[in-house]
Amino acid sequence: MRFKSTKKISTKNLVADLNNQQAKLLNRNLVEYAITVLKNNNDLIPLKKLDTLRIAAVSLGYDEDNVFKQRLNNYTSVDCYGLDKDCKQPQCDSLYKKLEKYNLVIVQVNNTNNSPAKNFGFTDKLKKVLNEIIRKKKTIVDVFGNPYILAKMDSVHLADAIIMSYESYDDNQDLSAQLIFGGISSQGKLPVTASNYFKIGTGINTIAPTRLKYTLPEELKINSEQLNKIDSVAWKGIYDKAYPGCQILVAKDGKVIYQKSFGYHTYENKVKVKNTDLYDLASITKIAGSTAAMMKMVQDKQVKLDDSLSIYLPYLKGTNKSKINFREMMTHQAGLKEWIPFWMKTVSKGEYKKGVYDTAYSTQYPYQVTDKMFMNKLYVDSIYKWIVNSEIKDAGKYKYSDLGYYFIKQIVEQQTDRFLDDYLNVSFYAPLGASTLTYNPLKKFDKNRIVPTEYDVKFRKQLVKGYVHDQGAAMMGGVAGHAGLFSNANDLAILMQMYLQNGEYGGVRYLDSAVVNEFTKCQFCQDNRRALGFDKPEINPEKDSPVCSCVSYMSYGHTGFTGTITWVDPEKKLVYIFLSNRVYPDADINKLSKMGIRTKIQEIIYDAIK
Amino acid sequence: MRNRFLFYLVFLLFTTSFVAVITAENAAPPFINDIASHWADSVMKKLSPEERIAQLFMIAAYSDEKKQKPKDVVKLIQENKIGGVIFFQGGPLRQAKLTNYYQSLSKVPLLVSIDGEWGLAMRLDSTIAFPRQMTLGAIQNDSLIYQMGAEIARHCKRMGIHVNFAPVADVNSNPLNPVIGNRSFGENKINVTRKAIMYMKGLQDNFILANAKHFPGHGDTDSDSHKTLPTINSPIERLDSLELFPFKTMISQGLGSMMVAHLSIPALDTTKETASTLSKKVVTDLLKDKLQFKGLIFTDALNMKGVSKYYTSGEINVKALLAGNDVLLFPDDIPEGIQKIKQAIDSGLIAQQEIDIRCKKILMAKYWCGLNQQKK
Repeated sequence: MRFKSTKKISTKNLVADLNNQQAKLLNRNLVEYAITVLKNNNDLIPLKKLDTLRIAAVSLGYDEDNVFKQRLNNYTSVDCYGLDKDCKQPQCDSLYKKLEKYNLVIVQVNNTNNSPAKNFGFTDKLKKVLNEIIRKKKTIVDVFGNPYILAKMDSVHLADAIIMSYESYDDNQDLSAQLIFGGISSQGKLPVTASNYFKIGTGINTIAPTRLKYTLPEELKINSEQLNKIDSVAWKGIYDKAYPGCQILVAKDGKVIYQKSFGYHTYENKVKVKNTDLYDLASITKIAGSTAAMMKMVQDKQVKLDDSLSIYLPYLKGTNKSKINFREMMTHQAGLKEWIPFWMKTVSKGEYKKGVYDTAYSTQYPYQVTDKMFMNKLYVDSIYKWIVNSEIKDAGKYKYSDLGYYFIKQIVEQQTDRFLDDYLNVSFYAPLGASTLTYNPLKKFDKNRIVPTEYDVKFRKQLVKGYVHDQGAAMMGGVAGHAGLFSNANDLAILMQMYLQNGEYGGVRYLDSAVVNEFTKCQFCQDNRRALGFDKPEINPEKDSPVCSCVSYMSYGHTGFTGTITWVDPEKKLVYIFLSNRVYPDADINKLSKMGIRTKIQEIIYDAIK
Repeated sequence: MRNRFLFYLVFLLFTTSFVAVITAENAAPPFINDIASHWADSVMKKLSPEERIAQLFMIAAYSDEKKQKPKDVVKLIQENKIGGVIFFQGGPLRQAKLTNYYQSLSKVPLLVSIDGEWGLAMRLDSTIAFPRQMTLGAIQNDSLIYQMGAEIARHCKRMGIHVNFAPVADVNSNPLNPVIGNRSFGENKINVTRKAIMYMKGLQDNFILANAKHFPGHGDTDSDSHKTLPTINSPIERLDSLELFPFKTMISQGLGSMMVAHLSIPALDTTKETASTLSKKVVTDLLKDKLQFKGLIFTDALNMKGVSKYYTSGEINVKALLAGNDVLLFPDDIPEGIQKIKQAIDSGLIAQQEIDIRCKKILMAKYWCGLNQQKK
């Protein structure tokens, strides 16, 4: 007699079956419910007032780039340092020096072990460093190790906040970083008594999540396989040379469920696109920049939507633009020209006209157009003159135009007494923690993190990288109302999530919900789909729509010439972002639109969340 | 599954607030039933006395080829007809192929086991590592532990594994414990017990045999039984109220199998240099008689120094059986072990009947795991 054992184990898909999404999600849930906050002075966690914080993250045990540090940087700018177990005194001293400029230090205790006889891997050297940091700085200590290790850190109880993350897996690092910023809240209780300060049962529940959470689609009962169909569309665009690379992000219900980068900065395939790289947003600037400023000014009663622009800009009085009001202008039906190639007026027979540009900065040539190209300050006035003198045609009829947004910049600066970029940064980007969302990114970021746009043969005669692609915005020194902003998908998503939440994010109210509602609904719905600054889905099936027909009419967003889109759908609580440099190397070819990639991806998303 | 879970929750609330209940009416281990018994009897009839002895042996297998050549295992399966294998280090694909191969060679299907406290990743590459039990100890929502047990059961099943040597039910009452530490749910016996039961139910509701270890409690040691024989000097009262608590409660809840630790516990047995594994007072008197445990009793690995440094491998096997264990885990010299047991039977030290009872228990467990399908 022989038995057939159980059915033969099939080796087909075996490893995939053992690494199923449900198990991965469960694993993350276990970690999320376990991470324990042991101390939280003045409710330091989740961090608040990000614009007041200068944060450093220090790994103690092993100096490495890791998931913890990467995730922290999804919430705001956090500079990263580290010391190995066997570090020497000069390295410690150099670290103390570097930490001087920060007002909050997050210490990640890593590279620990489970041996009580070996102090769980926490060396005397590290003990001294930890004591020193805690003594000098506001400190959060986050321990990725056996809880008994707490007994080996003499002054850890003096830290301002202490988190026990138990193990050093990527999930622990990821979720612990999210806890610090309120992507998740803490619910764990210490299962052992580690010392007199840390008794069994210790555990502080932090407040409910206030910022974006990063998770798996399955948490929202969305099948990641279905969502991953995005990948092949994104790759197809790259193979067909619609763009050399892209960043894509999907957030639903305040949870980022898809965040990936594809391809390279250029077709030379040298630099891979990373989630941290910055793209030129082009006209998304209208909603992420000038419209944000307008919303705030309307709320602060510094402007009224039905006022004529000329009330604020008297030089428009007596011109054909004296009667244009914000509502008409921002919905693109003031009769303004689409755009004006100002740069052509500065070039003659392929040569720059004399006195327009210089190769170096000076007070006379303050506006940097690109590398080694600075514009004479007089020409900004010329730009405005050219706009003022431009024709008005078919006022009241919808026609997309950049020109009005040049005025918004002037009005913001006049009414708020701040430069547009500064006003936006102070009012929105810095407190939101959207650190890469910025004009003139080279002022803050390394050039190799910025994805290039066009090889501009006509005007700039070079590859545009680190400077705005839009010629008009470039001539404004990079800061304009219609273009100029750069960002990675993550930080743009933060701003969009704030809009989605009707003006509130991270426990801070940035805008009244009434203001957001007013700006994001269509204004002249019959023949003009636009909202104030925001684009909307086209209702008329005969006309082109910027988005798929799957979106709700409540939804809003904007596309950008460089190959970008962001779209917010309040009905589905959805934020979708696609950033590419489809203008590389030549802006005239628009395969991205022809292939319908941005809408195809949107369709996949809507199919997946059904 | 949800309803069942709620039932457990209510039951647990009951058991943990009325601590004294237990022992009187234990839920039977899941594999104990008439159909399994009938099937086991029919198989027993076809096994020689020696083959019944061999059923009690569970040998080590590795899918990492640097550690073991399959032919060594094949020999033990074909010639010695051992009852089961415990897989150690390797990878899922290789282990699956080896399992298919070994099962195809075995007369009676093999009971396959693994140490999967935090999932298969404790032993296998390319698999998911769930948190250590210490981490789980921090969780306030015990349903998550049940879900984890169920998920690990799914992984085991997919791999043709029937027994997961988990959960660790030791209360880690000694912070200096070098071998349990973060493998324990923590220092609170109630927390340990609730979570151990959730893990156990998650496994057993999905037909993977759970295993409570390390009886009668390895939490209060400051040495490692892989290297030496640790001593626990607690009086019986403390053992009863603390260390034994999770094990007793798990038994009452239908625990399928237990692993006995290599510990010296003078309060239970004062015999010198004899690990609890080899102690009749611990295994038979305490576990089987007093606590009325009817499930499978595994020894901890018999090659561990805590037990192996005092006796020859043949002696250990006999002593482990005499103590009352059902399954001899990872013994060193199997052919010699079987011979030594035969001699013990011949000399009247052990009755063949006693071997048969244990063999039948193992076969019933095999039936419950689904190892009952007959080849034409």
